[in-house]
Amino acid sequence: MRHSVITIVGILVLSLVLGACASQTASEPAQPADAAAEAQEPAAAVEEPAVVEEQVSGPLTVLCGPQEDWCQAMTAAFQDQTGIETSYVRLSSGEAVARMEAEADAPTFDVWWGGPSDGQVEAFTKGLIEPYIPANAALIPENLKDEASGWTGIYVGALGFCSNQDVLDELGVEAPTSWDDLLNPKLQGNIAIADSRTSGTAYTSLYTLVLLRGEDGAFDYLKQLDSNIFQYTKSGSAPGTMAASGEVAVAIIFSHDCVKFREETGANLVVSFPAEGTGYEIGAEALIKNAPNPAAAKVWMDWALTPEAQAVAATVKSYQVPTNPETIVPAEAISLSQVNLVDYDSIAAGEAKSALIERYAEEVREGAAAPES
Amino acid sequence: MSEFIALRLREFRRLTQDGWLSLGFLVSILFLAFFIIFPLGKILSVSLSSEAVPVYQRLIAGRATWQVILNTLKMGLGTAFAGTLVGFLFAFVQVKLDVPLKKFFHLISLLPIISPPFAVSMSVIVLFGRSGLITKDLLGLRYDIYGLDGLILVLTISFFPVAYLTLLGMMRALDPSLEEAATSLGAGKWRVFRTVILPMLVPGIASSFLLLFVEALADLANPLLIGGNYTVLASRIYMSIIGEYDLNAGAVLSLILLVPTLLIYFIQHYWVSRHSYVSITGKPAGYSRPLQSKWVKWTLFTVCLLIAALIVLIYGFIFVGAIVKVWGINYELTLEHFRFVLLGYGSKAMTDTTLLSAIATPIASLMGILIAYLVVRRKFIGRNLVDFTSVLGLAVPGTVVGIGFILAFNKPILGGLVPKLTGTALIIILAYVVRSIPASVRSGVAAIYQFDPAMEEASSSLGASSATTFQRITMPLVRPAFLTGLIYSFTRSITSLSAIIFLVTPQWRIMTTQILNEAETGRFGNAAAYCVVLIAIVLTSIGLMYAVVGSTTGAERMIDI
Amino acid sequence: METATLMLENLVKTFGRKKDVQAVNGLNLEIHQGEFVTLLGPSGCGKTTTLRMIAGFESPTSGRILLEGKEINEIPPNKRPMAMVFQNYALFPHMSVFENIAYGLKVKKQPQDQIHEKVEIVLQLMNLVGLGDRMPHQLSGGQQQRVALARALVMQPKVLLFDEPLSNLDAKLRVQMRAEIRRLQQRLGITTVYVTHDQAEAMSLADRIAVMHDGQIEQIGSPVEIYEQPASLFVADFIGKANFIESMVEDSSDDHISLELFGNSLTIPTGNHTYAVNDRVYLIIRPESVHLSHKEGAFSGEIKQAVYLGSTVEYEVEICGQVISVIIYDPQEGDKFEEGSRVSVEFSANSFHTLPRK
Repeated sequence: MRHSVITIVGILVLSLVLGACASQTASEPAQPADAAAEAQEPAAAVEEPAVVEEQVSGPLTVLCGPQEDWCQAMTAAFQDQTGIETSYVRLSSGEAVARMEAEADAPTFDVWWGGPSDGQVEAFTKGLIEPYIPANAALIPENLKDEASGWTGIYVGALGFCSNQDVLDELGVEAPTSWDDLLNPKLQGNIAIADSRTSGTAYTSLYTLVLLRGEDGAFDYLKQLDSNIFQYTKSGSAPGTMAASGEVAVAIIFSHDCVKFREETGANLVVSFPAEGTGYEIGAEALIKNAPNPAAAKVWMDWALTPEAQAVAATVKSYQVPTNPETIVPAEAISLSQVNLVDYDSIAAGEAKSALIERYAEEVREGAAAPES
Repeated sequence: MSEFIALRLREFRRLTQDGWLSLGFLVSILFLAFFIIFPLGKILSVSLSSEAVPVYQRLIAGRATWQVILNTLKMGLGTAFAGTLVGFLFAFVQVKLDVPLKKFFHLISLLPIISPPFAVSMSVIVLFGRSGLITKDLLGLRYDIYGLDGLILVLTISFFPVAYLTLLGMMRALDPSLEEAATSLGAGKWRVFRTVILPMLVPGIASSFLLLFVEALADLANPLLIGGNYTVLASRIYMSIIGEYDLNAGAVLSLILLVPTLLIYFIQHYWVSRHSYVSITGKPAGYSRPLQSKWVKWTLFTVCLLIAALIVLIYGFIFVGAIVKVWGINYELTLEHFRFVLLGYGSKAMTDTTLLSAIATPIASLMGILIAYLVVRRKFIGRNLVDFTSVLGLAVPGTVVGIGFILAFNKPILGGLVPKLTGTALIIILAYVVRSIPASVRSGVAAIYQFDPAMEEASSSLGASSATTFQRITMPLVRPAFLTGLIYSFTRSITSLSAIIFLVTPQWRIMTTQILNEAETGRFGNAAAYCVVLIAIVLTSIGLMYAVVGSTTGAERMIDI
Repeated sequence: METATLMLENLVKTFGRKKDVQAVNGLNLEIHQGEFVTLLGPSGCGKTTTLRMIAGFESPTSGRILLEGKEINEIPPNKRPMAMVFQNYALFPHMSVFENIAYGLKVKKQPQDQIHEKVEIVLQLMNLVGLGDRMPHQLSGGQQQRVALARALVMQPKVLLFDEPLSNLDAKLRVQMRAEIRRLQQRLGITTVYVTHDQAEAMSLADRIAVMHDGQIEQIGSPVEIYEQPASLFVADFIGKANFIESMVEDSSDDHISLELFGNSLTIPTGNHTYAVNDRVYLIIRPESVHLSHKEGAFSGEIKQAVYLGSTVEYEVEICGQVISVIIYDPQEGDKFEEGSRVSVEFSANSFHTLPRK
């Protein structure tokens, strides 16, 4: 280690501006799941990356929406398989759009992978997306992709309430089964949710409420809810860790994240859903306009739809429902058919996002920065 | 007037007669101008441009802005007060009490200096949070550590060493004969303390208070992690840039943060330090008699011991966090986190950060010594400006440096002579250097003041050029200061977060931002393992630098601050 | 005419933001080849600043410094063929005695064997044989001083500069080093400028002494001239002790003047000044030129204070309301007087010296 560091020091000064690092030697993929191995259908999609591999080279920079460990596993798997040197930055939806907007002339990223499609739609309306239909997108059901705005779904998950049963018992509260349950004064300071300005997860909940209660009704509700909120986090899944550690009783997050935290921590977490209906996300991928390396981005996008790539999720305990029907659905995944889903139109959600976020910032958050006492 | 110009010309000619040394001076001065003055000017111009008008309107209209400013002030004052108190206590115990464990107390107070950001916050959350090991499991409390109280606690622990070291130096330099004089005039111990010692230390106390206030205002890591919904200016700036990517708002908020910070810093730097009664470098003129009162002695000792125990607990618990499955929930032992950081995906952050810091360190130290030499030994117009600028890098909050860098270097400048620097590793190195230079300059200035200029004149009189003199006489004599500069620069770089958080690129992973990512997404185990590894790297590097640079000339003495 | 090795012309040096501190104020000085000149004066008189301008550490605000007729104002110190010995020796603490002495030669890139040879020679010359490997902090003050001198001498400078080099030594060592420096300088014949505030040091070392006051030279001359014919009150007072007696000219001829002294009349040689009748003057007499006795004499005074110092006795004697200092060397039985006793005071006319009084 030290030896290599010393060697690098010498040449580094020259190569700094390039920002490149030595590409890893492509070793045999220490490949993830048994699930993936079984799903080795000889679909055209699987072959494709292997063919293009010859011409396409790195570096590829992925804007990654889901949790760190999934991002890591995905980029590592992709790099192992294609030899394309890949790095990622994890950004929440709001951050992603803001960043892409700021560097529209010279984007850092090639592809946006993961996070509710509302974000991709919003980015598209702002002219930040270059529509690209992956070669194997035909495999994906119609309602999980949108050719016009150029995104393709990679996973689906429903929003839910992630409660720590121990804390609930302590407070003498049942796991919430409706949005109104969350307004229970006993839960004061015991709910965590992300900030809709940054988090796509939180925006999904905001838009869900708009669908259920109308815009004004949704904001009235959120303002009421504010007194029960312990903390607004930046990233969408972070409230789940607070529920797991018992800092709060209830986290409003995607249900699959709750399962992930339960699996990982062994905390006594229970998932429940609002009876009135809940929103869901279609985790999407899209090509970024003026991407520095569109060729590699396309290889990534094609690959990401393969059962093999989608199976990586389960290896890091991310139990979203994969969009490719050929991917084995992990047993831990929450079956969406058992949940009362609202009629969530992510195109409309994405188009309304900018305006809603502005109102949200004004009415819910800027007013809420008062000290917690 | 023409005489004035002729004199300046002569000064300038003298400066250029120094061979490669002149080049060094030129590079250093250009560096200061280009990487400190220019980015700050950019913030100023953006935040005072017409584009910023809507931002002001929004900020002034929003109730939250005033709340944020109020929050920031409360946090700064609270930290300054508590930190100075704890620093005073530790220094007093060190100098005035004859109690055991003094060496231990000293080392404990240095620990926060080399530790990465977040470390204290994470540990405190897991220990004292709502489901904290101590608060919940031991005391059965559901205590809410997020917010002002938690912030003041972690900031006090993080920054009290600043007060401790300042006051320690002052107390040691206090002439014991003053105390003896007061006693011989019939004053009791308490009276001596109140009427002689305390007034003499007022400049030190004021200076610690102001420095801590500034440090607290500038801190980003802790407000992000333990601030909860308690927003302060630094975290608000972070939100503007990272969350909203609104550079205008970032610039405006930076200006709001910058003005009081700079003002207070320079009050401290130029005013308080000038009203000091004791010189920090002075040698004690005698032996200070330890305090005799048993009651006072053991009370102070106990308080000190409790605080030290708390610090040990907090840092020890980070190590625990690194080797258990899920910190705070599942205490099964595992090496998984270390495997991730040392061998797995996280190892790139470790090597990248170490490498970039290692490159920045010698640059910052060398430039620091050159600037110190220039400021102390050379006469030229603008000398005070150079001095002032070199201190700026320390006085300006890291977040502000980061935003300044983005604004200044996100496109090619000087007609393409300097390419776009954002997105490269170079800009991270430059940010490290800017943050590290001030300390190098200050230790250099102190060291150069300490030796007789006749030494250099002698060399010159024996026929050596300025460059030769610098190389053969000055450098060897300031080697201890150089080593201090190296160690400080490296530590400061590798633990720096606020200055580089807006500059990180996907290709170069930085440990501190990685810790933030891991902590924010609740993966405290990896974050804790990073912290442990980071501390280990710092300690190892200090050892290495001793071995390479500080073999003789009593450098060791300097480091034992 | 002898070639002047070093010449200072109208040298001016001002300090301060507004150039309001005049350190050196129009100084003129000519130092001849091989001459030993001391700049003598109280602190703040500009002597060190003058020396530093000669060495090149300060640049003159105006005026010229000429070495062998060539102006050297803008030549940096390392290019001037001079070597300086500093007050605190300024030995390089990180180098051995040998390395210290060899430093200048190494800088000049002289061959190793020559360096060795030359250093050995000065080590012998300075009585430092065997100390070459010591570090400076392992040496006594006197040895350090000798190393500093050796380090300057080894460069074979055209001009040797000393900045109060003996002020950190104890009294005995100082006298010894004084002799050593004088011996070396005479043997090597190097033009030397030596700054000191110690008049004994100046008198014992110098060919000529330049007494400085307020940035100017008050008087320059051999030690004897300076002592016996001080050109100003300042010089008279600074060099040794002197009694100043206010007086008036009663009569003046070509070679003699008559003055009033404690009610008597005194006639002395005119000296350097010409006076008219009724001019106000100071009569100056050194304490050791005044004699006391029990016999009846022209002047009678009262002993106000007597201080016995072994080799001398110092008296303060009041005559006609004025107090005169008197020093008697090697006091015998008859030279001891009680405080309060009356004595007769004798002056020899040739010991008097006059200066105009404004």
